[in-house]
Amino acid sequence: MSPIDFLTDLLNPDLAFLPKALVVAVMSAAVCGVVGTHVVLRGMAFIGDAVAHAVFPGLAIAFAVSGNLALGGAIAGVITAVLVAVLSQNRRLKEDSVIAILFVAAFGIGIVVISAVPGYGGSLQHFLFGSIAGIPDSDLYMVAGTGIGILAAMFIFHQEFVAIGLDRDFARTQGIKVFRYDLLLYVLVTLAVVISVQTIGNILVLALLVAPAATARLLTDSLAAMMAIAPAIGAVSATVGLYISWSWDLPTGGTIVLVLTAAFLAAWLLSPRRGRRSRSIPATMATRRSQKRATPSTTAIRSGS
Amino acid sequence: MSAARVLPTRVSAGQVSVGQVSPVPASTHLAGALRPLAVEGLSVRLGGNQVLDAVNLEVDRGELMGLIGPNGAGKTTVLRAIVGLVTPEAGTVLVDGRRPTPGRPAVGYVPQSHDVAWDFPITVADAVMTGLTGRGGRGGRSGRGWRAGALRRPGADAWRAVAGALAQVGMADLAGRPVAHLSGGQRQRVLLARALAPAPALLLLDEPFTGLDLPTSELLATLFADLARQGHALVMTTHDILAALDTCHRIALLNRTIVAIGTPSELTADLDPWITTFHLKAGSALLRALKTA
Repeated sequence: MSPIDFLTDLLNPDLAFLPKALVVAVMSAAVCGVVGTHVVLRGMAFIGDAVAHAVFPGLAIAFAVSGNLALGGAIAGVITAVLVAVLSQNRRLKEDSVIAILFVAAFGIGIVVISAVPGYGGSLQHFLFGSIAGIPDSDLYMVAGTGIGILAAMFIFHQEFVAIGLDRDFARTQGIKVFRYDLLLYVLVTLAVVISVQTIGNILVLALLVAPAATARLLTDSLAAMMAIAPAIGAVSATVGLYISWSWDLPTGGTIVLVLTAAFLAAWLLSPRRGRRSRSIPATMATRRSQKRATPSTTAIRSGS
Repeated sequence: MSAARVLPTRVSAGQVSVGQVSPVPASTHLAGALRPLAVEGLSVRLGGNQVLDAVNLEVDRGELMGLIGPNGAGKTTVLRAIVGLVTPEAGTVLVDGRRPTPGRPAVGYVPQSHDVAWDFPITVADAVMTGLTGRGGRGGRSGRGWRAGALRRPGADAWRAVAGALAQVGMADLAGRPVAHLSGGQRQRVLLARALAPAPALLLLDEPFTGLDLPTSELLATLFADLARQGHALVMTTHDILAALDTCHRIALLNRTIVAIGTPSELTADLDPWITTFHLKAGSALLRALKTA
């Protein structure tokens, strides 16, 4: 199928679910790209995985009682995120152990709950691997509203997140409530996961959080650029993935993840400074480049990263 | 700069008295309350271990105080207790006459370089700006607040403070460079600029010379001396004893408690406190070095 055919299908009123799926996929991928920047920089990928899995019991319970799936997922994810943050304060237990225990427990609860619902097989597959069909208009608005809220929070608390990411102890000496901001970031990750589960599924949603940001990290040394490139990579990958899955009748979630992986590999191979190609660039050239970027004026200082 | 008030006094054979900042007259107590730093009876227990025991320490404006002791002596813990990162079991810490709480009054803390995520993709200027983050509020708690309107972005005052701090440490030309691309000495200067940004009266430097070559260490030492001349009070922990003897106005020997405090010349005149602090044996290389210092 050519891109023109795909565009025609997007505009076909009989296929109204397709543009909705595209909009939801692009919005959730873009939001995950921004949130994922801090997930990648702070080495929180495992926490992202835990939250993604923790959303599942909430979805399952909401499905079983015919409630709001997104709300159920958000509640379960936030509870798990808070538990991770609280239990990790115990120095006897490493954080990764706490996370592992909580996320498999959450996933176990989800499996038990969903299996109690008659004819759960189709629903289980829908939750785990996503589906582009049957996205109601209300979900569209929910994703847009939640996404804007997440981006606003990331913008408002950007300075605190940067200070904590650079040096947690120093941030504490500044009076920054590090634990509260950790919690806030976990909640934002949870919400980003919840709005993405619809299209990409519970198991693969971690790819939306990590892959675009990791790819962007290979391409730039600027946090601001990273936070712009990551959502762009996510949005383009979601579009290309949906196009490929529509054209060849492939699972949407898996296809988007494979496109994201291809983008990461391309960046890893071709990135001039950090990828494999960087090894062929003489060190003096790299130094010259970085010196060129350094600017002395206050104007340059104000432009920030 | 105050003269050395304390040198160890033998209380019994083979034993050296500890924690003995000499009794301060009442009038001096009042003056001490306004000192940049006054620590009295500071005890800290971590994980069941007594890390600090009745530490007394006072630092005046324009003074560079070296804190020297063996590994595990509690040097870093003293600094962390002053900035509120560890909770003391007992004792008081007064900064500018007030009990410090995180963020106020401004204490410039320079942690060990390896505590910082240097691969975080921000510029030197942005890293220094984190020294003002959290001190916000209208007008700023420190007088250099960074909030500008509802968007909570650093304002012109904050960026001027960052530029000034970078100029103080000679890093203005590298303001736009990613922190990941800095050398060890440049990183140390960025941490110093970050600490200086809120214009603190007191600077706490944790092992600033670690991992640096001699010329870079000397450059930093000169910078610390300049800051002291400008009126800052500085407390520096270090394992580089010769650099401390060369740079500091006074030195405190610490091993869980203050064993002795004095000027470098006073402390090198009597080596007993060094033997007590470091558990040195006769003929150790350190003793030989101290004798010729």
